[in-house]
Amino acid sequence: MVACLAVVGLAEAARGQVREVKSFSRDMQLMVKDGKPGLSVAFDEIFTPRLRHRLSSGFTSRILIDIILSMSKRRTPVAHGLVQYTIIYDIWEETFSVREETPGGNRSFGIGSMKDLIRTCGSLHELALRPLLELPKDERFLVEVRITVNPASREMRRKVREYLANPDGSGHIGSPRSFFGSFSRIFVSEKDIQADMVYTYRSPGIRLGGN
Amino acid sequence: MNRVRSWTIPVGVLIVMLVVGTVCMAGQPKAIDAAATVDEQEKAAQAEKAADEAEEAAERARLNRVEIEDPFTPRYIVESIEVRGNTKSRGDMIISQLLLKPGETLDQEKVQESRIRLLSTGYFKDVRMSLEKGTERGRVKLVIEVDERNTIIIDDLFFGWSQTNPFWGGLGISDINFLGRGLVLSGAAVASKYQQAYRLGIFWPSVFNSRFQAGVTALVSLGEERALKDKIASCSGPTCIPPCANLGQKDIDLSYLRAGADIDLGIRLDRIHRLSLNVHAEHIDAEVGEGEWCANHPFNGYIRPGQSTYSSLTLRFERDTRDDFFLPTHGMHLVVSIELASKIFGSDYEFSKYLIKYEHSFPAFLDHAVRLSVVGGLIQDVGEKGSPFFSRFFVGDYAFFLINKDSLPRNLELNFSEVVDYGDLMASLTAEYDVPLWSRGKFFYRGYVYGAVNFSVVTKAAFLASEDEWSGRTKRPVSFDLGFKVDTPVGLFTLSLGYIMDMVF
Repeated sequence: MVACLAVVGLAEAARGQVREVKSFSRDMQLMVKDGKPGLSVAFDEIFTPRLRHRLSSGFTSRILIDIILSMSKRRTPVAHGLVQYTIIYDIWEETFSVREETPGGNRSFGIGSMKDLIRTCGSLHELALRPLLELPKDERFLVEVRITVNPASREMRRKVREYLANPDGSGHIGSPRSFFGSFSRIFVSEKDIQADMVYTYRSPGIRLGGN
Repeated sequence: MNRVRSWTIPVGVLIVMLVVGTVCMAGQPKAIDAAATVDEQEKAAQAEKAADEAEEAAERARLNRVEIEDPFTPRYIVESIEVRGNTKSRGDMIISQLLLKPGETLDQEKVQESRIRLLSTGYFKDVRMSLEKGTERGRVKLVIEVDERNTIIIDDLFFGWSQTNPFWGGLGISDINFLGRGLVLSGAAVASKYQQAYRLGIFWPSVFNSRFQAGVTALVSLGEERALKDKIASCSGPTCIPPCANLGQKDIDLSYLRAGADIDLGIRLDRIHRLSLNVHAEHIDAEVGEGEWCANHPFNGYIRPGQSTYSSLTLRFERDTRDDFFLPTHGMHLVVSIELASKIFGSDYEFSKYLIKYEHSFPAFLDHAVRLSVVGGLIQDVGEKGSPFFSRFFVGDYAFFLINKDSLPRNLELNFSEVVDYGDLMASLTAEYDVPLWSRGKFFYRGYVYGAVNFSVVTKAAFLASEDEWSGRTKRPVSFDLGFKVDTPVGLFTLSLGYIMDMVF
């Protein structure tokens, strides 16, 4: 429960500005699995050269996947899903360790190559979503998959905000105005710290078990 | 005691032998049984070697203090740090910005914070961190790859025209990473036909990567305050004889030369508090003209005629909790300063100057922001010419748009406007509403429009006491501004409609 709340908290934290933000339209498959809605979708575009470098850096990376299934007409959310991958590259063994966390449970496994890592973490296969309402039949649905890479913790954002506030301590009382004048300078913005990237995938209107 | 010890050791050895023997017997019965065959002997040797290696690795790990409890938060020892991609910035300067050193346990939070710290210096477009294998397992090399950026920033752009100065212009430029050592070298110049000022400074934001800051600035200006004849009051009474009676027949100039320097020493008390001390000394050579002592002389009491020295000490405290330097939506900025000029410091001018500024930002509708600020100041002069006129308050420095160029701000402490009245008491209130326009541009990173209203009063404390008329009192204390601010790689710029209105009308 705590882990789940933490994941939700990170999802909220990631809604600010980030370094790289992109949106895509993507075909997805929606099915019923064990009486619950399930989703299959691929999103390997997130593995940009920059992210691959980060994943191979030896530091821990996190990929947070937040899914909302809503009715096409009224946009009412009917199901929700969350997955978080924690990935670390062992620089001696040259392998990846991956921990997958979902509200349904956690599992850890090893992966030998970047190619396999992308295959594993770059798609969802029949992921069970948590229903919020009873799914109406003969209804078209919209799916939004929001992927946040390395969302910053609240503590880190607080620390960094202090760097943003007044990086070099410059600034004078009642600085004179000028016609077209620079009054100070900044180099780090919140987009640099909230997360490395946020990619959003949206489906066209789809039906359960088909198009 | 000795006897007990002499018995204890053999017994201990015996117990260990028994335990080891038992473990060997119990743990490897098949190995003993199969010892007859060469293959199994080899296997046993290999197993023993592997066990030795594992033990060695465990020992190394113990020595390296590696905790392998959670593979997702490994705790490596930083063996070395290597900087790549830097052509201008010195590697030792980059390493000095990090929050971790070789020999320390790697802390990913510190690595992330170090990256932001490096980005906040303004020297780099991007900073990437990665790990490489060290000389042995558990030890790593921290690799910092930097993409350097332009570090030459436009600080100021001066431009304007008035009746006393038909045109003036100027520029202020800084290299914020001078010689690749993290020093800030800044220079600025502004000039009109009658006035020129030049400023050159060097600032060390973090002296030897400590909390201390230091800087030196030199300023040279050739100024000329001009009182237009139609704004000079006429005299009356028995003292109204030449030269006082002749004042107002022509424009009167106050020409002066200033050459001086400031030494700044500061300390960052913590992330949000700063304390600084400024030492100022300058030489002044002023020519006021005939009848300077007349009550109706426009520059009466402004400055000491001839050569004089102005030196002072300023103590400044700052508290800054704003969440963003460009468009804050939360937090406050408080600045308090006290300046003391005294004969003790060799100054011909004696005064004390008190300034306080408080600014608070609030979130508003959607992602808009509201900012309220209060600035107040007081100068206590010792004698009539206690403070030189350029250190006094000028309403144009605080107010927005006022018709008749009453509110043109000073540039590099030179007054190019047609108003030459200064006060020793100042109060300014500003309310600003900001509407962000965009936030992810490539060159124009961010921008917002603002609307602001200001109430500023600059007056003379003596005027309040005597209720005498003072020509310099603010005629229209309420002013407005509408403008646009943008954040770019070469600085933050403001396009102020109020300033344009000041110019045109």
